[in-house]
Amino acid sequence: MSKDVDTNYDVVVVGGGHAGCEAAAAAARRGARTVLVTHKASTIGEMSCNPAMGGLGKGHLMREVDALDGLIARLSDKAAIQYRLLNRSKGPAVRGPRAQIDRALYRSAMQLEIANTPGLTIVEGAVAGFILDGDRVAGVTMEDGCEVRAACVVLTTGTFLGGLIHIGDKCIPAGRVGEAPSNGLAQVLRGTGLQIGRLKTGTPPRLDARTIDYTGLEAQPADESPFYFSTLTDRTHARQIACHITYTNEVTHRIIEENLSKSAMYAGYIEGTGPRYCPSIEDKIVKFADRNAHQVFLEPEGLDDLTVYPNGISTSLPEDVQDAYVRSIKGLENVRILQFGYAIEYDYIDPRELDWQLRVKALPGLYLAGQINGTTGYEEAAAQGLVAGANAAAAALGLDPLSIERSEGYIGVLVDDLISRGVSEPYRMFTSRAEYRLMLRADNADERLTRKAIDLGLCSDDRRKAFEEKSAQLDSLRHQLKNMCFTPQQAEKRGLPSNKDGKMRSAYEYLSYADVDFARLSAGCPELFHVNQQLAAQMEAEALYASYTDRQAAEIRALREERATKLPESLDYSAVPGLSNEARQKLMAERPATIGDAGQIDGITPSALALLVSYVRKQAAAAKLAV
Amino acid sequence: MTQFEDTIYALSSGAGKAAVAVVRVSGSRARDVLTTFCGEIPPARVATLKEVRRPCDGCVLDKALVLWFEGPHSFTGEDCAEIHLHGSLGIIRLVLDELRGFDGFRPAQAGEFTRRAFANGKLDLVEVEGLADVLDAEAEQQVRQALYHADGEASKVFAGWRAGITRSLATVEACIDFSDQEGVEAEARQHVGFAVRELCHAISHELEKYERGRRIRSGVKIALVGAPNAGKSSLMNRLAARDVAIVSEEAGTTRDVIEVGLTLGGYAVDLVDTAGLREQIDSKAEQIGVARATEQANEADLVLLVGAWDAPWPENFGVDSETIRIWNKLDLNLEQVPAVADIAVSAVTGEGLDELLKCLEGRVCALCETIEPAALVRERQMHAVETCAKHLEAAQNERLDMEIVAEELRLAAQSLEKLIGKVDVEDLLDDIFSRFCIGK
Repeated sequence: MSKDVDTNYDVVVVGGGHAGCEAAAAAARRGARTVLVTHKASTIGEMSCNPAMGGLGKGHLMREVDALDGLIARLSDKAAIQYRLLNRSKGPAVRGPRAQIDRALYRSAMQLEIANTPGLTIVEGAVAGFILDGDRVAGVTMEDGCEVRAACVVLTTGTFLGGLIHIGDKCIPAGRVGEAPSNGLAQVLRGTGLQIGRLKTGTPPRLDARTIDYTGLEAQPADESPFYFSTLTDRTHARQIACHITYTNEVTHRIIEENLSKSAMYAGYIEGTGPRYCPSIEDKIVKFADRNAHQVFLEPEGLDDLTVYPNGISTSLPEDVQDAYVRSIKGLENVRILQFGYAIEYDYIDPRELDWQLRVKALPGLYLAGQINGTTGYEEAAAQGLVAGANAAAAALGLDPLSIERSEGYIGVLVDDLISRGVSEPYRMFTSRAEYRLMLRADNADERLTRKAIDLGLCSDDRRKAFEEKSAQLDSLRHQLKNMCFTPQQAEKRGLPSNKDGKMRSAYEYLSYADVDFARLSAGCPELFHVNQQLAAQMEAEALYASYTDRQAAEIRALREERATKLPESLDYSAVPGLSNEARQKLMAERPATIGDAGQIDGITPSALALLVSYVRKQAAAAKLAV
Repeated sequence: MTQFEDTIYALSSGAGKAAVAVVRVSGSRARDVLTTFCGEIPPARVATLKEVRRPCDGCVLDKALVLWFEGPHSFTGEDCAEIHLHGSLGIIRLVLDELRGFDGFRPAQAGEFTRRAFANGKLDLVEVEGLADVLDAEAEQQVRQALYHADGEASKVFAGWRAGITRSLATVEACIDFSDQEGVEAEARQHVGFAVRELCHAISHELEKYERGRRIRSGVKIALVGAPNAGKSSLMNRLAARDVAIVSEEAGTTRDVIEVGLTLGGYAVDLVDTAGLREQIDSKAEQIGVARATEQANEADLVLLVGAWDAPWPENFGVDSETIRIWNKLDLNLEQVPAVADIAVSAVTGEGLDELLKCLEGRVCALCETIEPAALVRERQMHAVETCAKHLEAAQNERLDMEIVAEELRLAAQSLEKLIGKVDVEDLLDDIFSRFCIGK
């Protein structure tokens, strides 16, 4: 690193993966002078695992990052080579946009984006440790001795902290294949007293497309009308291709069974915990012994890339065993392995060390995002990166922080799950993690979050204009539908179900019926012919779930009201019955303004909050009686 | 475990002079009591005879049976100590005075031991309610039913339902979040359809028993109804074998409602005397009394319609299978007993009373008996379960999208949470992963 760079920044982001890029871009969008420090600038935006973005829960996260004007969705659209909306046959709340991504196209799009982001500088080098200003983190020191000073540091080191690759009994210190781990930084973090654990994840062997026999394999084509990740995308950028599906068989399973003792995991070389939902092929064979075939998706890594990623057979078996079992699979009889599969073990920091801004509670100025927090997946990383970057910038510049509640987005669910429950295995998003799933749809991510982005200065003008225009159209359509009312006879004439009860119903109510979609509604209502498909689909989804989401909205309001309950300045905490002395002392010291603020205090349990709420309410009721 | 800093203590046996007095202590410093008073902690859960010494001068306050329960294996889930003292007012006062001086100790508030047990997950709400019922119980069947709840047997029924819902929910969620797995959706629809139907069946069976459970818990309500001066109050006094209602010759003496509890065949019975029913009402107070009488009769499980030669049964009073027609004043009866009378008695001489009691006992047993104990005995519990059943019904609609089926199941589980605890998303995922092979 040259000596003449400005070494005084608002925010320094360590790591150029999906969390790091999103964090750096978000900080810069808020106006922070930001520097992104990475081992190698040429690996910025690298997709080091599977060549795909999105999916169930994950696609929702991408739409939300997009709604906050983040990068991952918009850039994925530039590199998508096979769009597939998952769960197309199910309801709109659980449909997940997914696409195969050309790795090279994505990487170059990201590098271009980062290079062109105003206020964002890239520095190559390895971080050795932190600059401490009292107990505050005030920048990083580099291995070459340089210092990069900044008000806040965002750490997004992925699997690089103490990274260790396993192939059979071989063990190689590395952050990714062919890249050195960050062991110095791992040492420094271990010295901070933060809770640190070990996780692992695996990859499958990569195959040479020229040696795969596709004849007789089931092809899975791209969707004809793609569901784009970003609301700003209006066309497909790259040629669309098909993926192929093949299956493991009894021979495959026998080879693996016979060699289980050579697997790094089963031989006990790995201490970290792996994800249950993305199990290695060894795991699948052991846990689901009754199945005699497992699906394998053959996913091309790019249009001009001969590498194929066989999704579904990640492994840490020795190279000769990988070779043998892969060749037992239909279509792969003569396959050449370009890179063997491996398991990687790495350090993560217990995310319960963080607050909702993804700030390390014990080390002010330090923020963590991505796999370092125990998550897995590009999308989960990007979402955290955006939150950490936006909040680091807020702290550096004295701006409002970005807070997303569980009821507002999957990002809120992700952050809350991490900081309140911690992780016991690599955490990935599922739609079933979101209790307000019917409200948190991919189609309405912008309705839920873009206003927030605009208010916080996170949003570009172009996006703001597009959003406001669409939002106004949506409001007017909703208004129109709620005010178009039909008697049963009128409804029948328009081809709608008739209840013959004499009750007037609005078009919006009819749209909430499971068997009335927008097409059926507009067929009988010429005034709705002009409505574009996107708005129609969104209104359809909104109406379909209305009876459930209305109830949930009421619940959320009640919860918010409770949190907004004022704790009077004069409140005598020693008079609150049942409160522990510890809680009492903390409350007396901090004097929180509301129940919500009290909940933010470390060590104030939900039961203490319940006692406070009931006490304050009783006091208020008594005061009312006395008047 | 929830952290409670303060250690609480209380005299847990009744106040006043008695053979034994039990002082109970719970909290993180409960062990201090035993080390200070007795010099050591006795083996856990073994009754040990110890001298209780005053710490300041070593003076022996009492020789007591001492018990030590180490958390979480205790009633409250915290460390607990019990000292069984001689029930002398002097000893109790000396010991409680000492406890007041312990660092971090304070007297327990009403129900605080149970509240801690609840907060620490040692008891759920149904068990807490059952415990309250045990303490209130008088009749044998009341005690049995309350113990069934307090010991967690009823909670097991609810937990079983909840586990069933969670399993179905896990299946539906797997089908949503892992849709690329072959065969998951068809399997899910089939499984959920079958499992939810079974659950609905079990729940409606419990709901049918609710009325019996409620009657056992709060007593079978029997209302005495009839014209003024038919001798309802005298009959009530005879049945209760003590004077509870004001009896006089003047018609319309019982203006309000008077209740008395008794036990019949091991069941609690709530006998309610009401004001006389007549067309002509003289005072405002009597008018209110009559209105209440009608209300009581409507609410009652059994109605004893009392008549006599000089105060016949009111003609406009509806008679159904839960009405027993009694002809009173046999001792003064100058006319024949009407053929429609179920039983003829004399409240004055006691004639026919044995027959009446036997008849009532039979009716009460018939109203209460169940093969299996009732899991639902309170209105609150019944409503929660009704809501659960409603959502399970809705979840069976095959036209609903899977995520809406999931929502209905979630709401069904939520209504059971009001009874027994909390569905955790992690539980759900555990369930999914233990039963499915999950890939892409």
